Amino acid sequence: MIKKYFIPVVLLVGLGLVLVLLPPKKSYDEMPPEKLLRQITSSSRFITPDEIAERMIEKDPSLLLIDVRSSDDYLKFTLPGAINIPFEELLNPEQENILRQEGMDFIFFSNGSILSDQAWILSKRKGLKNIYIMQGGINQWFDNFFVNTPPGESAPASELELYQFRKGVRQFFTGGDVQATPQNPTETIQLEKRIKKSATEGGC
Amino acid sequence: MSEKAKKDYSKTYLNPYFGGVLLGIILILTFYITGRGLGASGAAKSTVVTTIQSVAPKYAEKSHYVSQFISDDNHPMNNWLVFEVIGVFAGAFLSGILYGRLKPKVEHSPRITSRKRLIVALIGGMLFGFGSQIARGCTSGAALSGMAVMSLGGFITMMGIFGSAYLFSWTFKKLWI
Amino acid sequence: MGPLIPNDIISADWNNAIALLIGICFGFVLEASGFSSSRKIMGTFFGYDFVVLRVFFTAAVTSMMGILYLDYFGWVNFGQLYIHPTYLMSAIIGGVIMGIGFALGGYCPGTSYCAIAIGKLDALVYSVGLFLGIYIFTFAYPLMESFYNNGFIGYVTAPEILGINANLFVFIVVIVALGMFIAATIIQRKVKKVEY
Repeated sequence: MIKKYFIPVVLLVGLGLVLVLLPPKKSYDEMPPEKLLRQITSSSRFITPDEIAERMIEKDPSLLLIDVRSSDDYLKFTLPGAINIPFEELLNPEQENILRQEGMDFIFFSNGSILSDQAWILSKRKGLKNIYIMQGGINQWFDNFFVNTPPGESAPASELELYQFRKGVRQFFTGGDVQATPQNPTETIQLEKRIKKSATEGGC
Repeated sequence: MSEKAKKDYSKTYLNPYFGGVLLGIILILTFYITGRGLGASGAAKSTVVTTIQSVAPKYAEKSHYVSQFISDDNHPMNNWLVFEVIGVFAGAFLSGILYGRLKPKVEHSPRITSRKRLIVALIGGMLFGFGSQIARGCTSGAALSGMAVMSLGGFITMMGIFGSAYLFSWTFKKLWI
Repeated sequence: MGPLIPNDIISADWNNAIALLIGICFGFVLEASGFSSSRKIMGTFFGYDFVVLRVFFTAAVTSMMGILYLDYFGWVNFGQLYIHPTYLMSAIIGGVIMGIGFALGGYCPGTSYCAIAIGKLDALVYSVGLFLGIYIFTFAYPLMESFYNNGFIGYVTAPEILGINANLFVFIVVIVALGMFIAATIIQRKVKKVEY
């Protein structure tokens, strides 16, 4: 055999062996803290229930409501069309795939704003995009559309408009009935888990 | 003063393993800098698309295949692969000068004529061009760059190319040896 | 943290200039290794010159290991690299057709460009053939469209499908490649020499 190749071959096999025996890499996919701070302090992640209701009435297909409370709470009552990803399961890879779909806006909501905000921070750490929070959560939803106190007579026209809008939203969603029933969560999602979209272009 | 005989390097080539390592390093750098691999048939495709577009623009828009590569804000020749291929020409030319291999000729086996070689080259090119579009790549793009990232498609295409070439080269043995 | 351009560490305006530079290096190495000669390339299939096998697999192994090492040390984000998509039927059929073209023409597009650069006329004719072949494909495309888009498995890597660790996969490829090199050297010694 050719002696001059001895060293390169040993080097090659050695490098290959080292590669196999390397301890598994810890990958975090993290967002750097400075970036996270900037996003926390800007309030761009909040969307009001009014805006969400408007998009739902327009049947905006890119909207997906996500109830981050426990599944018991979800089954008792949730917002129309919402799916349930309990807070504890957010780090689950299956749920993560749902949230990695492109072209969708994901709106986290809970009873108030605290749990959904925590869920938002968690998802940001994972580098997920297009995640928003419904401001005020279900409580605000109810306040806006179901408690909806009519403005006084001296109120500006914009308030009156808002009141009418909210009344319309209530009628749209309930047709008179106050409770909204939870959708069957399995129907609303069509996933193609295998197809990872490539961020870079390429090809021959 | 004796005249030093000019040494003929035209048959000298790099050690293949060394060449392979260099090529591997080039691939690594390419992926590291641009996130994509090399390619060759893509530039030929861009040329064809550009030609079709300038000669018969209506057909270009109607054709399902060509229309994918035409966009209003970007000339199809303004793509990464075209620039890379221009570089390939330049680099090979440089190497040809360095090694003294610049010489116009038709390379063929002594058992066939030049003319036959040219005809066969044309047919071979046509088949390869057709196949490269089906497989979305050629040996540089799909096979080499695909294997660099362990892509399954890359491996399959590479095995298809080399396997079928092995089979058919014995059928056409007279063309070569 | 790579890849540099998709992460905006180098601006995307440099992309084409870098393509040119990389192409120059690529073309130089190809020609210097002898890929500008169709008879030398075809030697792999007849046993008198295994340059294609050696260069190809050495490059594949080097780049695979290099990228995985870079990924391990955090220099490159593997998930951002472009992975050639797998369309099962298209990959096989396209590969077979290309193989026939290879056996006839003796070049692949990249090597034909190198050969043109040093003046090989048969390579020039081959590239004309390439254009014609692609042109014919655009005509035939409506017939082939469903076949072309069939069998899409995704932008998957081989170790993913096989269910093994990527590093182990690369090691296996290294061993296989070494075996092939040894076999190639033995065969080349036994085959009748060819002047080209």
